[in-house]
Amino acid sequence: MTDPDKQLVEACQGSTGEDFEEAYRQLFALYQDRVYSICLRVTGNSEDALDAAQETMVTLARRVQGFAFRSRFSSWVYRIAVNAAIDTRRRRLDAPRGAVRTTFGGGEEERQLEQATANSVEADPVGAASRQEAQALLQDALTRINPKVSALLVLRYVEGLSYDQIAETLEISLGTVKSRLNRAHATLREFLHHQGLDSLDPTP
Amino acid sequence: MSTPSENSELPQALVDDLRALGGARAPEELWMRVQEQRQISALAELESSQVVRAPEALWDRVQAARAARGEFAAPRGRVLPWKQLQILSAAAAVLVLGVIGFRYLGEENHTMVQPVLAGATDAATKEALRARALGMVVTPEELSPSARTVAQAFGAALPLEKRPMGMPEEGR
Repeated sequence: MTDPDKQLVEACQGSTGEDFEEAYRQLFALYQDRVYSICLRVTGNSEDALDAAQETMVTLARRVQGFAFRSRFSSWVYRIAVNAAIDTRRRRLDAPRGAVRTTFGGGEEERQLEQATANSVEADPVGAASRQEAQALLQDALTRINPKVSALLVLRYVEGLSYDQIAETLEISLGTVKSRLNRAHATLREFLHHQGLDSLDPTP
Repeated sequence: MSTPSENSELPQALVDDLRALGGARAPEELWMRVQEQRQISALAELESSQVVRAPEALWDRVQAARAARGEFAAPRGRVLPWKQLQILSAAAAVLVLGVIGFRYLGEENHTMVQPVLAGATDAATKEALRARALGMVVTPEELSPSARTVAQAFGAALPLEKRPMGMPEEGR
């Protein structure tokens, strides 16, 4: 199977200076939203997502010359993004207590997330929750469960990757993808149940 | 992309909510930040590839210049370069440690021998223990001419042997 990004990647690999910058800019434009999206959903806030996306794109520029097409280029980029996002989240957790952000600040999206989190502690948190609020609660769940589990769920459902591509991205077997996803589903359901958000998961 | 059968583990409503989380757009700031980081990395690489070692004479020149400005009294004689000072300091440290080590070993041997002799009550046992010792007491007459010379070199007060010049040593 021919990699859909092969031509663009080879343009980067066979060039230097201005030509490289031009080719790299095209790759950047192609992947920036996907990379940022993965980072945002795994880290849970735009500041960390920007840090992780930046790290991913810098790594991409530095290592694209050595990419050997042993996997799809997109899988390689997703792998870098997932690792950067997980590392960023861990660094945030390892940071001194005062440095951990307990409130969201800034953009509209974060305001919504904050509102949704506040709603979740009310008496009937999701009874009147809109679709948007439900998504915000899910995002909150993704941020609170193990980052590797949330990365798996993000790749599968948010980015819509197939089992095959997840296996390639995370460099694990297809069987491992299936078993880990089963555990990820259980973790998510358990979390939602624990938070009193069973209405998001109508399965009895 | 995924097939419907692959989504069967989670309820469709939940899957739809998760899917709706996708499609975030990267902020414009990302490109600027990435370019800035790349420039910083490139500069850092450039700097690390251009590290040069200062010549050893630099220390001497700096010290001489400082002395000329009167920052401290100029040392008499030649100022040793820092590297030589390090070597000399290391050698002195090894010497001091060696002396301490030998003294310690000597004391240890002494303490090993004394209890053995102290435990011997009769003369025969003492004599047997002395026979096993490495050192023994001898009179000057028992020494060969060479041994006498060595003993004198170590400071032993021995009566001079009267021997005409050019005479061969005994036994030769």
